[in-house]
Amino acid sequence: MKAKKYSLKACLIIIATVIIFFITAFYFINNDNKKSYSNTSYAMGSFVEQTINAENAQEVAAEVISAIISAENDISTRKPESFIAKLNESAGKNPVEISNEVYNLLDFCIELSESTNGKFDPLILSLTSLWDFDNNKKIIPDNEEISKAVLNTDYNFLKLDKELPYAYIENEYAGLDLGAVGKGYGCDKAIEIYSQNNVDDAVISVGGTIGLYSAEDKKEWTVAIKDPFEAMKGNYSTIGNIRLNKGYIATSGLYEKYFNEDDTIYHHILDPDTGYPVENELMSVTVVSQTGVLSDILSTACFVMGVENSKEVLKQYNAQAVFVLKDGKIYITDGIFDDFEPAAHQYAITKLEL
Amino acid sequence: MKYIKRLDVILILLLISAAVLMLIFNNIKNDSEVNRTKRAIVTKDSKVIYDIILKDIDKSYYLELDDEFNVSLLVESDGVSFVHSDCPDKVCINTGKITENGQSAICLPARVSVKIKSDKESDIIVTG
Repeated sequence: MKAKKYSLKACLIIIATVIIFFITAFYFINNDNKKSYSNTSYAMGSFVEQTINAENAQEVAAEVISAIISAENDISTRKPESFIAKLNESAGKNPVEISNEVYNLLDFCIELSESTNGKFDPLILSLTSLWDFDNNKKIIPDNEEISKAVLNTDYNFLKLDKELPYAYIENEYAGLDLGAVGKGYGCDKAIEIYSQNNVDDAVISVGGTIGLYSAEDKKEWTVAIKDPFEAMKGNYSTIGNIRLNKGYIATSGLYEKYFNEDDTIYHHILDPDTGYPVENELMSVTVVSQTGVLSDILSTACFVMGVENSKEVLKQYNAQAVFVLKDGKIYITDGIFDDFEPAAHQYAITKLEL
Repeated sequence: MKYIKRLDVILILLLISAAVLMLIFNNIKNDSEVNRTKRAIVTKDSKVIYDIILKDIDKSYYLELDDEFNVSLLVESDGVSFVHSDCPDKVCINTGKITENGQSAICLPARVSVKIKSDKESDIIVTG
């Protein structure tokens, strides 16, 4: 009798202790997520944000920033010593020796120019410098000047040679502007470093272009897409979230840099064929793909091409997209349709079969 | 003997109720209070200069950074917005008020950023 009572008592005490133990453990496990390290910095002309889960997160973050700065020093038109600036300077004069990395990047840009029938064109400097959205010029250039710049915007002027390697711009008035590539290139550099440094998981945003890394694809990330309508009104909200465990996400929207004149919006996404800001059904395009450079280029190219003409190239590169249209419709490609959670109900969402 | 037994029963009941209370308390905390503890994290040149718990704010106020761009932020209990910057593009001001976890507003020329973070909630990253 006595023994029975004691064992019941012992049982209850053990149960209570176990419950308390689990709650405490649960609490600590929850808090464990907090070991992640966040860092903000400036590179590639953008705000760079990283959140890294790793033992040596701080060192990794610093390494990433210096890698992005060094990439910027390679490809920025604003750095006089960059390969790109030297190429532009030598346009129509002489070839320039470039690094293997820059060769690969330019080679990929040309491939994408061909796949998009020139709707993405890295030799767009004559147009971008004319509109000069980066310096808030906010003046519509002369029509004749635009026509001239369009003639100088053609990726076929760029000649690449893999041997040395070197590159040459044949037309002295043409020039490279990798503004639609740099942020994605920065993300690629970051993920490369995460994967070499025993990082559990990490996320990088270079001015809104995002790279996701997870050592075993275990982590699920929530990526929110900015609402372009609200952004135009000066409000901050999102159209919804995509749940992803890897990949690169880039968005092109007409709300990023623009000015109004005579009730017309002049935004920074230029059509290489007309020389004017793209005028179609789109407000913004978000692309998800397997490299940062690809997502960055495709978001710009798909914006220029519009929904229908984008399907083929998205399919070709196994990429997914979210299109936000001016009439309030949202098209989401089939590969990520089920991963999208809308934030508000005012938009009509349609699945886009690729 | 009987007396000791009663104490034991009380002890066991106390332990169980403590466990249940902790469980309930933990759940409540997870569901509401902690999630709603939104913080605005202000950085300048990559360094955190303010970490503000928004729900503690009774009265909105302007945060003047006294930097080379005279950046001024309006801090309210439901969010933060840039109200002034001598930068040329005013992208920071046009961003509007940020209110939700993961949202951020940035003045690139002044190198000032504000981000909303909720404790215990998973990080949301915004594209665009």
